[in-house]
Amino acid sequence: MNPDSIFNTLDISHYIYLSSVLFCIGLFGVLTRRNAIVLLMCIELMLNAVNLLFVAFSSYMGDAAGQLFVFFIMVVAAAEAAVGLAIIVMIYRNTRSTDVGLFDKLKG
Amino acid sequence: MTSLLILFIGAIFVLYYGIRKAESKSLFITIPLLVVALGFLINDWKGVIEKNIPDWQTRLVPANMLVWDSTAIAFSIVLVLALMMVFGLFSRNNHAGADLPALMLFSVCGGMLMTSFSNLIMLFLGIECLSIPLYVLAGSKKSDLASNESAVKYFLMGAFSTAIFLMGCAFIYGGSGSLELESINRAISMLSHIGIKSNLISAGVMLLMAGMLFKVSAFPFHFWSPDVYDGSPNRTTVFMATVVKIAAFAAFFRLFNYGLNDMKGFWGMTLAISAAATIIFGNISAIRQHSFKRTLAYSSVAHAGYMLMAILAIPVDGFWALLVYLLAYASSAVCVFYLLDRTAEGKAGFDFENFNGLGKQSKWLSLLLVVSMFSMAGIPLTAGFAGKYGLFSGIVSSYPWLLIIALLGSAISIAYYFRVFKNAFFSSENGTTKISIGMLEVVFLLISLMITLVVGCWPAVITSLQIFPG
Repeated sequence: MNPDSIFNTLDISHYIYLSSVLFCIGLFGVLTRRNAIVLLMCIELMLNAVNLLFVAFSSYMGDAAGQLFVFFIMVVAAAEAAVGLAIIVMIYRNTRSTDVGLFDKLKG
Repeated sequence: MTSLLILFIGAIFVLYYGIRKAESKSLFITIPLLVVALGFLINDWKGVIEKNIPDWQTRLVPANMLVWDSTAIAFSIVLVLALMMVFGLFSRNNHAGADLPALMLFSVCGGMLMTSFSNLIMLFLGIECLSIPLYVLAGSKKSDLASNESAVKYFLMGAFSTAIFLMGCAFIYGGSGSLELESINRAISMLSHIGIKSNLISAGVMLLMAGMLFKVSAFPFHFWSPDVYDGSPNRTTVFMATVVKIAAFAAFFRLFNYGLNDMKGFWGMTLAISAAATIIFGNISAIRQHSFKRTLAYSSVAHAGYMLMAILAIPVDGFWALLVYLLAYASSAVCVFYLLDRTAEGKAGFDFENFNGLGKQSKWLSLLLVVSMFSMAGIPLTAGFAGKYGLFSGIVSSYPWLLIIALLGSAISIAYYFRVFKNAFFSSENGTTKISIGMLEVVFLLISLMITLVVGCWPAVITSLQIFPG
């Protein structure tokens, strides 16, 4: 089976719908969940929805730039997750919790 | 481009050098480093003027990733100047290692990518290179809960807005078939020429705008910024208020005026409404604050609203107005935050009461306070007025209602900018302890005072630099 065929059998709009749905699930998670680690996972889900869309467009148009972008997104997401988890560990040490709902000291 | 390399290599060197030494010692490297980078930038600027070639073809780095045109150089100069003032004024009492200044230098490298990108990949890398060190800087007071809170809020909001921004990039890529600004613009104008409305591009523009509004902290997406500004250590706050704002607006300006210019009819009104709401909300919330630091945070939201008007104007006018306004805002914000930092020494919070008796205590510092506050409020003969005048005249023909809201907002802002004068000059009690200023700090305070007054009295010093941007 030709590896290209999977992209040829499905219309590009299916990929757009799928990644939009994934993105919205992530968005919904960010807006409703309270645990910092779950929030980080939801953001990763959004980023992966973007990656999927980029790869689909890239394959559809026969242009390599989109796949190049995906590599950069993956690298940066890893760096971001490293810094983010370090921040969450720092907070856990101080408050013994990763619940972002506890962070309401700054107000006004 | 040389200056970017110098700053990046210098940042690695500072990081290595500063592992065991106190941070104040690394100043002898960072300040000359920034001066050298500034020299190269000014040299580049001269080159661009003398050659007088179209900006898009000035100096393309291979693969068309960055373009080093006059817009990029001008914003980079302001960026480096602002960082220099931040270093000069806020490095006094830091005895920890020099990792924080190195992070700031890395962050500014990202900022310079944001001023000079010509490809969405570079814009994304610039934003992340700017933001990731900032997450660390916001949380750099590890045991302080306010600093922790601001770090986690900034991180989650930053990563979230990046995801939205990337979704916009993906839609634009799907709709226009390219990630390069020039090709995107060409595809959009071609589509509008043959009368096709691409839903992918429209959705992409809206998502890109949402992502950028997050970064500049404008109305629907401003809610994170007061908390983050309030909780971060003072130096990080002033870094965010100046350097990050300059880079974000430079990127916003380039993306929307060079890449998506042909869709101005589509995104113009949304942006204008966002600007109006930002001005109203930022100014009204700033009045209601008790803490001076939080007031300044909300005022920075309001300033973002004014600066959004530059993107709505004709690119040439908008560029000069934005440049003058960013310069004015950066130089006065650095001074005000410096006074905030010094008057709060040995006190718990950043309230207005910290300024009690400053007028009696030091003539020079109160002059500084008055000039900076006048500039922020936009009183004539200060740089803030010159910037506001440019911004307002840029939009007066296309969005007259926005001009009225902006003028009202400036009138409201005088109330909270001048509130600190009541404490500083008309308070009987003596709240401030004696403030001693080092030699280096005097130099940088004078530089920012000079910028505020010279640009204010004679704006042509900037606007007659004789080059057509873009």
